[in-house]
Amino acid sequence: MTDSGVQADVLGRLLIIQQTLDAFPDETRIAEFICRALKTVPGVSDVLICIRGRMIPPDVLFQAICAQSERAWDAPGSLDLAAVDRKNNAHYFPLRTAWHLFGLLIVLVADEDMVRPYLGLLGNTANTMGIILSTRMYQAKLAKSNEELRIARDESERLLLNLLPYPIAERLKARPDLSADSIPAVIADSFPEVTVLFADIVEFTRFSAGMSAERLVAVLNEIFTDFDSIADHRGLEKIKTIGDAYMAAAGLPVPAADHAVRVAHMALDMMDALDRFNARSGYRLQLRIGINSGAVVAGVIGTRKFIYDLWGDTVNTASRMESHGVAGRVQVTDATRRRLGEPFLFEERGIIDAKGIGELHTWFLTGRNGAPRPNDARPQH
Amino acid sequence: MHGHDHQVSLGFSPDLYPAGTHICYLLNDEQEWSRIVPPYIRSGLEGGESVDYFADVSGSDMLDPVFQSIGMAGSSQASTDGFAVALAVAVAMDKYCPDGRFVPERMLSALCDIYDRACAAGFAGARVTGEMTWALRGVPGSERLIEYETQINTMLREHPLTVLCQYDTRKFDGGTIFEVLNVHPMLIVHGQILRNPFYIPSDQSLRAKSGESGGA
Repeated sequence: MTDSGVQADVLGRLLIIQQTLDAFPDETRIAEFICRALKTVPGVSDVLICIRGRMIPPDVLFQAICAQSERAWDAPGSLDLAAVDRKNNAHYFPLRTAWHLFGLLIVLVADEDMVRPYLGLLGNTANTMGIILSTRMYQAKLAKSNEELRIARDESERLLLNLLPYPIAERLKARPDLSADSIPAVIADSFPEVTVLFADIVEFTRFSAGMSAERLVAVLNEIFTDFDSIADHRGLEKIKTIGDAYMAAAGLPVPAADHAVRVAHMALDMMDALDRFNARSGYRLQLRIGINSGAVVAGVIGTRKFIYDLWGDTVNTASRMESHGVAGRVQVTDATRRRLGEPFLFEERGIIDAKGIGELHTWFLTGRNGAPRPNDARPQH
Repeated sequence: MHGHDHQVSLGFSPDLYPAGTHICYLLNDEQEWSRIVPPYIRSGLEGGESVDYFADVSGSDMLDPVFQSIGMAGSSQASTDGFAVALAVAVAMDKYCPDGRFVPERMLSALCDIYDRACAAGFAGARVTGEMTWALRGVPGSERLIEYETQINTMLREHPLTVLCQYDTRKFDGGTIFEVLNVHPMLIVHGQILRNPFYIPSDQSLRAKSGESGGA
């Protein structure tokens, strides 16, 4: 025994307790252990732990003490634990950080004279416990925040991928120094070989007259959802929709040698999809599709609500192919037809005068070799 | 074969300890585990002892990863470096509860056999280590775990094999860990081996237990 009345073996236990606490993964196990271990200190009859919001001892007496302490949670300096000690034949050690009292270690005393030499060491133990528990709490908060951050990041990535092609989104993510304002300066790529498709639902404005806005949107949504699936299946990049018009392209942002073939399949599939929609709905909608192949510039412009878009003569001509096209038919330029070749069937339309572009030699894509589209046997102008 | 006077290396500490030391390892970190248990096994093998590892895995088909985790390439390869006879890795449940029940006396007898066989085979000593989480599976008799751990201390007086009991603090409750501390003279916490001031010598502990109705 030391001059202070501390027994060496008890001192050793208290030191081991402090060292062991951090080996437990959670506050429940820490509390279970410490309540058992501190009962080995001479003069201690029981040990209880009160942590704010949970682990309140069930005993009525200590519920009352905790209620008294409750007033001091947010102002720990005002809690007169010594006064509570005298009143209840117990010692109360705060579990706290520098700024926050979050619990109490309550040591019930059977023999005050025996426990007195250890009060300082019990206080040290409570301090250690407070540090470990508060560290665990902050770690738990940090883990929760990280998880929330991960969920938010996943959601923003999902939204970004809805706006931009995957490689473009990845390029933006790889440049954390970029803000949305500087995007246009970075994303503007030339593609020498792509095929662009424009599709329009013929006389949709007249068709939708008198239709409720909700129904109108539902119809477009059903049709364009089908088109989106086809674009995914055929390997096209959907560029945008404008009203009842749908724009897509192949060969970008990842170049593809078969870009024209992909778009031809897409166009024929779109026609079939609209036929199926008409059969389901009873409507008699028709598509007019235009296709052209060549060089484009692709990128992101604008500082708000930016999208991946295409520019260049190839795009303008593809648009004219659609606007100067025929209901229920797929009109392609000579440039596209040359890239498609044998696997597809064509019907020569001849020379058309495209506004702003001039004369163009065009063709109707009528089907796949061996499988002409039935509707193309009786074109509707 | 040496007795208690034989000092052995535990592998993870520069100090030597008497053969027959009973150690509680409070485990809560896999990286730390890899700094404690594999060196404990390897130092036993290098010291000419036989080593038994009782792994809390679901079946013998899961033992190869255990071999790998303790730094051994596997049972077949172990024979090439002379450790095949010395090192045995077994499923903990098969050892502690061969018939689905835990009987402390039977397990203590098995530990004695391990030591005696090692002596007969000319090993310098014997050491065992077990993952004690098997005791959380609700096997009949597992409530006698603390009684068993207490009796190990008595058994080691005659059969001084070195015993390292691995208690995962992420799995056992704090109260049980406290009881476990009471029956291990040595303690590993945060990778450091310490003399355990909570240890209650076997005779005192059993006297105290005889006054109680139940076990741990």
